[in-house]
Amino acid sequence: MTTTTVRRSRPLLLVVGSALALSACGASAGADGGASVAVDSSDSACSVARTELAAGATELSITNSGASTTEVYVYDAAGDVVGEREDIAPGTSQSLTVDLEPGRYEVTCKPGQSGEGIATPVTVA
Amino acid sequence: MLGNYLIGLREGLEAALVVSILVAYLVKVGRGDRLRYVWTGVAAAVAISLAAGALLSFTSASLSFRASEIFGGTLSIVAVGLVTWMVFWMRRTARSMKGALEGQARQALTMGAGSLVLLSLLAVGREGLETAVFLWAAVQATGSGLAAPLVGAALGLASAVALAWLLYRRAVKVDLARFFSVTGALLVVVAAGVLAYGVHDLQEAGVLPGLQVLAFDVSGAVPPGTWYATVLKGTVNFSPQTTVLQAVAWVAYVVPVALAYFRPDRRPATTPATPSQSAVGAR
Repeated sequence: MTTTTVRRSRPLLLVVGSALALSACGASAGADGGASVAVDSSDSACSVARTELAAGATELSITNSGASTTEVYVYDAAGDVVGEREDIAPGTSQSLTVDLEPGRYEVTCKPGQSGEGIATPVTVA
Repeated sequence: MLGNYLIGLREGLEAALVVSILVAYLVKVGRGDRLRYVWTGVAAAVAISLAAGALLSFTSASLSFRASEIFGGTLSIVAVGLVTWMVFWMRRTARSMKGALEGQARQALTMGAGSLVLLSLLAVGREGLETAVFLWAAVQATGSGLAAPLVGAALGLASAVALAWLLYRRAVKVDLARFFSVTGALLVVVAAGVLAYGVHDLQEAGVLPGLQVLAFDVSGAVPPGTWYATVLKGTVNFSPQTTVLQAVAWVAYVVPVALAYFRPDRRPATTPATPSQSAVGAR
């Protein structure tokens, strides 16, 4: 790389680096004994293994047992998205970690990635 | 298997389209020697994405929803900047090739090595993390005895690469003027789509408002799980459900950039070889 290219690339690298740093703020390495809850998303149901959870970092272990690609959203009582995982292909599992405060939430599975989806209420103590 | 195939196809198209145009451009301006920088960028993006994806999939490391949306959104917007810059590079090259520039001057118009690496890196890497997580999930499914996800994903990616290769083959055969105008138009539309995608990510992160304010919802006509929705999403990033802010960003990008790209030359690029060339360049 010539020095001119490096000079010109610097502001760009700064932006990319900041993007990485910003997301690193949102990264965590290892749940400190946090809860893990299995979620099974099929074509017609959204079953959450435990609907009464403890507050704190919670890992949703989502399995797509249906035939179409699904996505899972966690909505809080106000209807805001607390976490989401898109593009969970049929037959695969992905995990979604959310930090839950006490309150009511909805875990919503959207098979086919459109529409209102199937909501399962969850309470966090 | 279809679900995995379609995601592989979409992710593959999103990554390969800009790269195939870039490769065609380099070959057409006779700078095939610079192709290795493109491959370096692509390889780096693949390696970094797979590594980061593995970290997220196999360890208890996690990226918060908000952080990953900010990351994806920011990278997409940076990618738009780079592709726009690439589009205007191509325009300058088109203008110079209309004239009688030879040798050194033409050399100067080729993008620097670092720029090529960065452009390819971002074109492939901006969605690389998502793709990698999806791929590792398919790999994990094989571990549980289910091969269909990984086979589907691999076939999808392979199809995307094949399509991108076909595009490249078509592009190099076409005459120069047509090449620049068609790929220029294509890149402007693709970049606008990436911008709209980045805007949506930032809306999901709460950085930009209006996530629920839709400009249109055609998911009845174009259901996300179909092949045509997949191809539209993978090429021009068309979302069946588009927010108002996305639509505004799309139009606000396409109109000025297309006008700037397709405006007639204000003056001839070089001393014209024939009088007809100066007529093209005249106000």
